[in-house]
Parts: sequence; C-alpha cells; structure tokens
Amino acid sequence: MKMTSDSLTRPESAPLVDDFGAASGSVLSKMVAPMRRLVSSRKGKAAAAGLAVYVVIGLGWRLLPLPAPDYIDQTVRLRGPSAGHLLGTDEFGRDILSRIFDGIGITLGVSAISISVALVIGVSTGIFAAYSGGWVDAVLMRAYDALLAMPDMILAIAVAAIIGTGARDAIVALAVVGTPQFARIVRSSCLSELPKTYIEASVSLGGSRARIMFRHLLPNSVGPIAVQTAIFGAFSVLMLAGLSFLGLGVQPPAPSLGGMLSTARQYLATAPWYAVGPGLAIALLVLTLNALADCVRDITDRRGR
Amino acid sequence: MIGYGSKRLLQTVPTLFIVSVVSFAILRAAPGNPAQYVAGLTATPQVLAAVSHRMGLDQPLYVQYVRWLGDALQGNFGHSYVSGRTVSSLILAKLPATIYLAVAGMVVAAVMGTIFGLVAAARPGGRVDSAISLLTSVSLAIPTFWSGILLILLFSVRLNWLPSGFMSSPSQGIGAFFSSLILPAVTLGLNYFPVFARFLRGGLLEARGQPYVRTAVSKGLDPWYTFRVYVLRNGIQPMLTSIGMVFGRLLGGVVITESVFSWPGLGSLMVTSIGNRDYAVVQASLLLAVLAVVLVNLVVDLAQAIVDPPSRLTARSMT
Repeated sequence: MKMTSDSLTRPESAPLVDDFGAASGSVLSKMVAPMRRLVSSRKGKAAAAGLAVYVVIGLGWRLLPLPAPDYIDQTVRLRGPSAGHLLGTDEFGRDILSRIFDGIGITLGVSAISISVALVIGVSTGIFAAYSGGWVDAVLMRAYDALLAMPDMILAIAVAAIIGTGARDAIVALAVVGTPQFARIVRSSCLSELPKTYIEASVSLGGSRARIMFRHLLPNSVGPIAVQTAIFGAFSVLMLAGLSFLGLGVQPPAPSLGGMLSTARQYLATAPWYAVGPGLAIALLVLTLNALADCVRDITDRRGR
Repeated sequence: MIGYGSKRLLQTVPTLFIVSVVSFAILRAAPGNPAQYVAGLTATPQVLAAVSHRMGLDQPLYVQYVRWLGDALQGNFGHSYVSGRTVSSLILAKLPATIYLAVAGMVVAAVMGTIFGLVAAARPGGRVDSAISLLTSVSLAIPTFWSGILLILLFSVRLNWLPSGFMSSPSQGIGAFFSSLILPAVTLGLNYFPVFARFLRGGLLEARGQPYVRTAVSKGLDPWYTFRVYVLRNGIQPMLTSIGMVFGRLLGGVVITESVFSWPGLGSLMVTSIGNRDYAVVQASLLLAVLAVVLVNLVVDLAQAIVDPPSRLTARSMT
C-alpha cells in the first residue's frame, strides 16, 4: 500500500496507520512533558531560571536606566564602582555594566544562531547518513571525523583565520565546530532506532524515506539532540569569548565579554575590578548551560530506563 | 595487535588529508595576490606574471596543492610575509615555550584530576563528593582567560609572589623559569583537571561494582590489594583514554593562556600572525597543532590496546 493513496482515502483528522503510540509524533508535542519534568527538580529549576534571566537581560537591558554602552566620557576613565557606574568605567569612560549587558545580548545572539545552523545541518545530515548507509554514510562521517579530530578552539581559530574576524564570521566558525558534533550524535541514535520493529512496520506500510527520517527517526533522537544543544550552547559561549579575547571574534567598538577581559588584562594594576564583571557573566552563563545539559540528560536517561 | 595498529593508523589518513586541505586553504585565503608580496607593490604586470609563474600560482589548484604538500612534508613552509624569515625557523624558535607550557599544564591537570577523582570516589554521594562535583562544574565554566587574569590579580598584583607573565628561559636560571611557569600551568590545570577527575571517579565506581571485586572482597582479600589490582587498574582506563581528548582541548587553551601571560610560544605566534595576515605562519602552526593532537591520540589508543586488549575490538571511530 502506497502512503499517498492511503492519505487520499482517509480524512485528514484520522490517525495515520503507522503512528504507533510513543514511537512517533511531532517533535513539539514530545517536548511538553520533559519540559515539565525539567522544572520539577531543584537543579533544573535553577538552570531554567538562570537562562531566563540571561535572556531577559540580553533582550531587555535597554529598558534599564543605564548609561549607553558606547557613551564615551573621558573625564571618568577607569573609575571604580560608584552609584552612577555600578561596575565602574572602562578605558574610555564607558559604563562597564551596560557593556556587559550588551555583550550578553550579542553572545546569546551569536550562540543561538550558530547553534541553530549547526543543529539543522548536523541533524539533517546525521539522519540522512544513518538512513542511507553505504558510501554516503562513509563519506559524510569521515569528513565529520576529520573535523572532530581537530580541537574545537584550534578549529574555530582556523576558520576565523580563513574567513575573517567579526560576529558573522564567528557564527560560521562556531557552526563548523558544532555541526559534526550534532551529526555524530544523531547518527548513532538513529542507528540504534533503525533495527526496531516500528521502523520495519513503517517501511512495510510503504512509509516514504522522508516520513521515516523526520517522523520516526527525528522524534526519537530528540533527547540526545536536546542534551547536545545545551552542551554546545555552553561551548559556543566559551569559544566566542575565547575568540573575542584573542581579537578574532566580535570586533570593537561592539562590546564583547571576551574582548573586555582582554582590555581589562592591560589595566590589572590600576583597575582590578574591570576584569570581574565580564568573567563572572561568562562563567555563570556557562555554568547554567552545563547544569541544563545535566538535567536534560537525566530526564532523557530516565525515559530510557 | 598489528592488525589493530594498522587499522588505527589508516583511520588517521582521511583526517590528515582534510587537515592538509584546510591548511592549504588558509594559505590561499590570503587576501591579495601572494606574488604581489614577493614582487613588491610597484612591480609591472610582466614582472608580476613572471613571479606568479615561478611560484607556480598560474597552475591549477590541485597542482599547487600537491606541490605545497610535497614542500610541507619536507618541513618547507615558505617564508613569513612579514619578517621574511623561513616559517620553519620561526616555529622552531617558539616551539620549546609551547611544549613547556603544554606539558606543565597536562601534569598539573593530571595530578589535580587524580587527587580529586580518588577522593570523590572514596565516598560517592557524600559531602566531599558533592563539593568536588561542584568544584569541577565551576572549574569547567570558568574560561582560561578569566582564571588566568584572576590568578595574576591575586598572586602577582596583590601578593607579588609570582611574575604576571613572560617566560624566563631555562638557560637564565631554573628557579626563575619555574616561577614564570607556575601561573600559566596552574591556569591550564584548573581548566582541564575536571575531565580527568570525572573520568577517574566514574571509572573507579564502575570497577568497584564489578562481580570480580565483590568476589575478591568476600573471599577476604586484603582491601588495599583489592583496590590496587582489581579496582584501580581497571578503573583508571577511562581516564587514560581521555588523555588524548584533554590534550586536544588543552592545546586550544594553550593558545589563549599564552595570550594571557604574554608567553612567547606558538599560540602567540599564531594569533599575531592572523592579525598580520601572515598566512604562511598561520597555516604551518595550525598544521603542527593538529598533527600533535592526532599523534597523541594515536599513541594513547595504541598504548591502551597493548595494556587493555579488549579495547582493540572497539576501534574508536574518532581519531
């Protein structure tokens, strides 16, 4: 029986023949229960709240009564924390706190875009490789293995050296690092799903390649993908800050957490407080994302048990 | 063993191929015409064409790649566009500093990882275990450039105990050399010990849960002997395997740490060269870094195959 003739003869609302309970379903509908379980643990609650705070700061810090991050006031260069400048001022007399907030926004934006790019390309090629098998799988995976063999930071630096420096180039560099990681994880999760009965059932019912890949294999790989998203989120924050610290990421005058630390390093003797805020902002964000990854892993593991 | 060894060696071939293509791409990504650098800005088109021809730039890309690869295999990476010196001499001058730092960082990470891993595994779930778990999480979240800056703030600026950067060459006195090495090495160690600690803790706990350990305990074997021979020898395997992975990450950290401490190594050279668009130097130092990682992973895998024969069956796909 062909899938097309099947859907022609049945009303749209009727359940499809091969939708076997837990085995299939849309990705979104499968996210609700785990989300609820995530915030049920204390660690999960803290991690989710922490990430929410960062997102709110990143998107809405402009609503706060802070000096503009690019407002230069040469009369207050490198001043310590005060009522007007809660975290002090930088070498141009700009407000450090508002620059940190702006930097958080840029960090989240760059990370989110690079995660999305790596996720879409990595997941789709990973599923494709697993389902195709043979030489397609071999070629794709050898290429990804070669990328994985290079240390993340070195690879990101190499990409930045080839294509240039700036926020947009950093996105590409991070996506190049992340794509093979997603592909590897999705592929191995798909390979363990492929021999299962529900896939065989769908194939014998005439399920199309796309249907098996995106309606069966993808939803059943959501757990590992979610864990990897959080892990790579933390990684991308660290790598972007590292690139910016080396002068290969976000370029001045735009504020970046890594770039601020690089400047702060030159004024350690005269302005030691300068280095505290940006570093703390990075460390807390990474800690939050790593905790989130742990919690997501716990949830998906429990489901497997 | 020979079968496994040759299979494992073959696995590195595609990796090395792609790495060489990336390195070549970096060289060709240089904006502007490399012949222009050599011929000078005022060169006439005829001179430029002649220089192009002499450098092989008028050949198809794959011919250029093969020629570049042949040169690279002989250690000839051409000349720096900026200083005019040969790339290999520049790299050889910076290599020792990076090796000192990477080795010292690995040693600090391994020692800290072993201590914390052993202590954490002693009473899993206890208060000390939770504290160490928190410490490793925090340590993983703090970027090297921040921990380095904080260490400088505390030990150089505040306490004035240790130099805040620059390497003191071993030939100028071993004491000064080590005191200049401490802060950067500890910075690296702090960042990379959590991986060791976690692998060791996990490995020990898993080994302790094995039936043969229960047998050893119930037949009344000396607890210290049981730990040494049954638990430690098996439980340390995951940590040993992770050496390759940690070394790779640590090299990335070395680039940043060198930048924090103005350490005169390959990382600093690479970053300055990227800034100067000195692509001949960039590609050679990147190539060297990746080669080192591939080599260390190869050695770790082969060593493990000798020590732990079953691991040969699961020839790891990651090279």
